[in-house]
Amino acid sequence: MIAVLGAGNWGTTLAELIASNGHTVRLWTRHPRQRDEINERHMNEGAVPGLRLPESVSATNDLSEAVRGAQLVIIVIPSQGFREVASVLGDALAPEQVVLHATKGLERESNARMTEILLQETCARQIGVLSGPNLAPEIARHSPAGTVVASNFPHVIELARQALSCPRLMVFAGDDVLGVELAGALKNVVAIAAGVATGMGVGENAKSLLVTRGLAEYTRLAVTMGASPLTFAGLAGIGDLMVTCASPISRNHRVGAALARGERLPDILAKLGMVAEGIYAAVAARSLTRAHHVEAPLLDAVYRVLYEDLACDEAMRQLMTLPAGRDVSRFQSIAF
Amino acid sequence: MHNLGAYTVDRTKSDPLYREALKEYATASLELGHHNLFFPGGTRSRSGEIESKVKLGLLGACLTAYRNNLLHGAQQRAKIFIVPCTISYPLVLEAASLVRRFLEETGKSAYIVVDDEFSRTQRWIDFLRGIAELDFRVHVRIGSALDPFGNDVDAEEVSRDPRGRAIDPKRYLLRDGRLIGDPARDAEYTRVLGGRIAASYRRDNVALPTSVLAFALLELLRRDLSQPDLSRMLRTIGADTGVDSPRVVTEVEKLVAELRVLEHDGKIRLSDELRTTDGRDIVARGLRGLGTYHTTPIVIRRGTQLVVLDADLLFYYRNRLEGYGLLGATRLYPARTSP
Repeated sequence: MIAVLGAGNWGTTLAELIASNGHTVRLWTRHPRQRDEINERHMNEGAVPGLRLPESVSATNDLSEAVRGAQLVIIVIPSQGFREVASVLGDALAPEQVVLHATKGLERESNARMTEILLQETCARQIGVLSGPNLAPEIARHSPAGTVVASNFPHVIELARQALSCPRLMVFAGDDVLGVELAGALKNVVAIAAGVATGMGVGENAKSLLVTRGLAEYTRLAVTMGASPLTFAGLAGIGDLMVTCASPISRNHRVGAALARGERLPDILAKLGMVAEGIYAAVAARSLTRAHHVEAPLLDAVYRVLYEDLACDEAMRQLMTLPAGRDVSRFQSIAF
Repeated sequence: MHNLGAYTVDRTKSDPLYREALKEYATASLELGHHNLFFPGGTRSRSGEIESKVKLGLLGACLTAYRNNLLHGAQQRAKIFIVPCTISYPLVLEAASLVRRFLEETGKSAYIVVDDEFSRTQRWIDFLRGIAELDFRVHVRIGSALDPFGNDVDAEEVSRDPRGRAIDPKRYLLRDGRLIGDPARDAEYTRVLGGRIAASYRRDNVALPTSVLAFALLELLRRDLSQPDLSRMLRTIGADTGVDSPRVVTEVEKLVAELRVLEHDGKIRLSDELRTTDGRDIVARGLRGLGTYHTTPIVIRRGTQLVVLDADLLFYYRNRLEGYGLLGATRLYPARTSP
């Protein structure tokens, strides 16, 4: 039995995939109406319209019931609600249970990664992260895709593969938990920049410039923090960034496009009606680059467009007049 | 030492058979219920910083012994606890050779050890006399106990998760309802334990006037000189780069204020004099330590200025407070991250 915590579009999609793979799934949601819809009509129209859930998916509002006896617990909760759910999970979790999370973000203020929150709030040790170029609507349509599970525990990867691996989803293994988590969170900032480029209509060259430099910036930051540079050439790095920046349906991309039209952040978020992790990740990126003394002009520009009313064309002008250094350089450790 | 039951670890031996035999010996003695005292840093801290990384090889013996006792039914000896312990010295006998070796490794060929004189008997006598005359106290702190998975253990020997919920540590070894050994998994558990031991070292570190003075003084010099290269900066510091005494007192007071906040949050400990006396007195005590014990005084008072005569040693004593983010200072050298 596998527990999926969170019945948003990704959680619901994962529950369907795992159940189609022959496992029993218990899906936890806060909302009684959603629970009833899943249990009675086997649908979750609000999250994934048109997706039919197998009978082996049952929903509950009781988190400890969802988790009890589960071989594998998969958490799919937005980063800002993660700690609250983790602390309730801590009441129910047994030391031998395996926890995987699929949340791409960092906690506000603390900049904590989700695996760090799990270690702070629960007794769990065997934990891992699921990340990669995984647009939920495409996976829900059964289009082929690949994903990464990173953990220091081989058993976590083994269980995740049993649950998720199938002809429509390739599951790759990794052990750079830090790199995968940072890549998943920080790419959202670059996705906003890509959306801005799309919205401004500056062309594909400019968009590629922003995206590539953005990748270089957050790779440099992550490597300074201890991640492996190779992670950023993998599915959780460039893979996830490509899909996020190319797809106009990605939330962060939509935020960027609206900013380029001159809309203000609160109005954009009201219209979007969903969480765009990038707006939090931009704050995290700013404080982390400062704390680790990493230069990141693009990530910084996104922050200023979001929170300091910097106009998109002015941001672009500022970036284009920066002195261009080496395109690719070896990553330096902290010199001073 | 040998007759008291000490067994030595030769780090220079990389023979797998030697290492296995050593691990087996440690495991067997723990299984039989003997207390073991490890120095899991593997060596002395050469930079002077609190260890942020411990050796996991021998530490893994704790979990192996715990597991073996559970699997072989030796339930009465099945509990194994790890008690981190820190010793904070106001002055360190071999500080000079340690820090020179550290700088040699960090700055590659920028430093060359000329004379390693610190094994001489006279040095020991001076050290002991110094301790006696200067009335310096060595602080030994026994931290709170951990189980082999790095969880806190309460007075009733119950393991607690980070939020204080009681947990049964045996269950970490369960798979499909059975206790099993899994070397890859257990090595990871030990890595978490190692991280929590290192975190405990950092919390139980006792800040002393010598390190406080060294930290504040080097921070002032670093700002004055604005030389980004560490070894160049240390070589630039000399008799003509003194700092006005009142500036040092102000900086020490700022530092102590930050340290008091950290202590309040349980992130470090302060020695009594740092809790009670003012900046001027702390500087005086720091000077007495740094200025009298080593062959060359590290810092002396000259007129209204404090002058540094041995920047490397000042760096060494300063590093005891590295990694706490004090005075907004950046790290002076890359951190040793977990393996």
